[in-house]
Amino acid sequence: MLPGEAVIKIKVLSRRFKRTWALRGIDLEVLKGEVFGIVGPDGSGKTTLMQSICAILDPTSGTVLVQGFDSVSGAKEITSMIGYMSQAFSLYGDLTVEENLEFFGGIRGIRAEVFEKRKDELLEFSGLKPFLKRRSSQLSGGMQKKLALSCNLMHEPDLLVLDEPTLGIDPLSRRHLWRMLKEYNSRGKTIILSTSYMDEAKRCGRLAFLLNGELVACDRPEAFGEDLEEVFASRIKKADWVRAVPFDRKPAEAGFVRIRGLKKTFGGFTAVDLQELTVESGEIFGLLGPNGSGKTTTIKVLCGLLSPTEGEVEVAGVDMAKSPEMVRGRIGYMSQRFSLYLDLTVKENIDFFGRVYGLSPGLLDERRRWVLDLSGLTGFEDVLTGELSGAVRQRLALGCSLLHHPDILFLDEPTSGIDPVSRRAFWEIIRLIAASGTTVFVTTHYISEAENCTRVALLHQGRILALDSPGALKSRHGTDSLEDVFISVMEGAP
Amino acid sequence: MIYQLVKKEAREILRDPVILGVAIVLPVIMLFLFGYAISLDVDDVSMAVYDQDRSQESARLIDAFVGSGYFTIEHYLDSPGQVDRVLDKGEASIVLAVPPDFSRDVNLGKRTEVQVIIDGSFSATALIVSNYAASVVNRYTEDLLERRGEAAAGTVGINPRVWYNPPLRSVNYIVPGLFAVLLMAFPPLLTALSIVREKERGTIEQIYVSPVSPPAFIVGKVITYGVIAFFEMLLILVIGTLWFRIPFKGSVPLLIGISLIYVLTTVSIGLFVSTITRTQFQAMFLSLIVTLMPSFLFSGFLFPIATMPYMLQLYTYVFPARYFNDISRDIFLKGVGLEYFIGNAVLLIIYGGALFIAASLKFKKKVA
Repeated sequence: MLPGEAVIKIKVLSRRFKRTWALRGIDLEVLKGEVFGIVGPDGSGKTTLMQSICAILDPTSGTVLVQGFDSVSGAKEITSMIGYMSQAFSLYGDLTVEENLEFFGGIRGIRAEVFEKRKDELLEFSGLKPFLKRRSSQLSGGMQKKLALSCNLMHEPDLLVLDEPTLGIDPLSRRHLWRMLKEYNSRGKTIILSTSYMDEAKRCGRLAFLLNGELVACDRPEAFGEDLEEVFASRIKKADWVRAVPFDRKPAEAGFVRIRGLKKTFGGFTAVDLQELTVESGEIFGLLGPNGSGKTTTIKVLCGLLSPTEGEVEVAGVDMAKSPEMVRGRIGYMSQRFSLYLDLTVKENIDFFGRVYGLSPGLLDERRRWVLDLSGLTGFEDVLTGELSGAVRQRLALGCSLLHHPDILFLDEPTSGIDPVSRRAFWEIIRLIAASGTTVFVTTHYISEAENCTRVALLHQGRILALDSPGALKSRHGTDSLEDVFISVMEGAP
Repeated sequence: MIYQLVKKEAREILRDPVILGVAIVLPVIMLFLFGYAISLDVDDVSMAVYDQDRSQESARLIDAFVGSGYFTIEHYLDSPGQVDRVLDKGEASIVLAVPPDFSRDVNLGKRTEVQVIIDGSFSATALIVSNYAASVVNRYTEDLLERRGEAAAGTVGINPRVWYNPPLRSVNYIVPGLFAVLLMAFPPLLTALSIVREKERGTIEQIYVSPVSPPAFIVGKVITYGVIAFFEMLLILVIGTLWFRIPFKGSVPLLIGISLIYVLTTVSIGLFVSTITRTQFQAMFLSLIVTLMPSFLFSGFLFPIATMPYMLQLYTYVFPARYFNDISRDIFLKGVGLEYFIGNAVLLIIYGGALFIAASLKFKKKVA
């Protein structure tokens, strides 16, 4: 890559939100034509940095210059020449694909004849042409991201800022999105993106590694070392790591799941269609799939939160069609949104869930100590849960869902939005729990995490495309990456 | 650019049945509820008579009450103690007491007075009952003058007469007042929600990083929701005049013109609410508190402002519904022209303009 002039010059940038510093003393330059990656754990300031570059967040101190314009005084000039994709769903869900493109082209003041030409190019490029009249809320996660990107390419910005553009989308769409980005970059355009996928980090020209709001390192990916995840893990304080807390309980006799002909439909839309699935006691069973593939719906049916449209479901020996409430005391459930009360303290949360499950005061005392130990919060009992970091909160939520020693633990995307290092730590706890005999049924959209499972099912649009142990799946497809397995299975699917 | 914003907004609304429901169906439901349920009309008022005269003249007076159609005589009383009893027990809401020398005074052409005791526990109906009674007595006096000629002038006292709403149909002033309330309740709510929804979903960040200026974004919202509010208004106007047969005495273009100003004011309240809230829940709560509640209590819609304590009367000027409520009733029932309420109209324009500017200034294209 040719060394270009600096498009972005950031000097001692700091940003404070109330009492916490999200960014501290960042000095950074991004060159024209670069693909610049930003990595770092959850809450390290990645989004704050990107919003500062986009001039939609003013620095507390320091300066951000984008093509010579200051992000405070020249915000208008900056916003009119960049494209920015936030982590959130940034489309208008009730508008169709075409109408979204039209709107975003329209507010950028693109003339009609130019608009038609670009629209056709982008639709071709993103593969969205067949879905022109579909509402964007009804697209798959991957297609939504491709559309959001297309909306931001409408005015051909010189600088593209993307906040975790590939989070939670299927591997095939991820591959397409990267192809789009590389092509756009080859026209000399600058791209800044944040990611929690290490394979994506490796594809960037340069990487900035943020930790607690500070820029720890900024270099070419090769310069960091071979195993990026390992490198970053070694930088993060050990205190955040899991401790081996023994989990003692009698092995469950009946921690199994049996599904036959399960169908769950919402209106005319079939969210889940599972022919046959059996999970045995003591397994770590992984349900894998992109956002919107039906993972959460499946788990909700298994926990009795949704009743199946048709089919037989048996969980821990309980027929879910007959007496779903019977299963409640036998299962633990942790949803993808933290189920903790953020305005209660750590102890109050634990005690609340303990009482809900009817633990006696003596038993609650004992289990509370165990949860505090597991989440590393001993001595922090009176801290408000809302003040904890995402990773710690997640571990606390996990502890709370285990208070009553369930036979089966259902985890719905427990590691979503968590950095790779904390994810790894979380999985060590999951293995620990499974070793004690508790069945773990877990969903994730991080395919690499599935390596930890005894068996995985690849779910796509509500159907299981493949089901086996990770090793068997890989050897059958002659590859050493589960992601390749998923892609080849998806490409083979109708 | 504003065209693009309005088009996007319109498409979203047309595809969201909930928004359409809140915008169109809810106001109509409220109109019917209020049109039928809140009635301050009184008929079949239960009445007791304490006739100490027991003469032909007193019988004529009592007949006049019965003949008016508003009163039904439930009891004839013999002692002052019974008067207290029937009122206490609620067996009558009005007692007519005729003095012992009533017929003598009338025959002598002297001025006399009958006493009317009204159950005042609900002041609004009490006032109306008292007015009814007064008009009955007046009619009796006129009748008396006709029978006796000028010689027997000056008999029974004259009480205030009811203007503007002679049949005292309360729906006639409920519906024009409801105008002020409904246009205050829903348009700001919808406006505030539409902006805060963009904040919640994250689409607003796309607006921030685009060349759309804050006033353009806000004008886009005002136009869209202004149009919806305008349709709401026409709907209420049509249903009010055709279904409830409210006599419309004023000029339609004048009412529409003033309503437009009012609608822009209410939409601006919604804009302002959206700039200081982050979630749809907060926005909904705050807009109901600053719009719906005060427009019920302090606009003069149900509770006359003139009878409020002085400090509260000043307080009512904080809420634009108060100005519009006056204007709306003036145009509807009195049919007066602009010159009669120019003061209120100017206040409305200043109010709306100030809010719009404040909202535009408060709307920053920054996430924090």
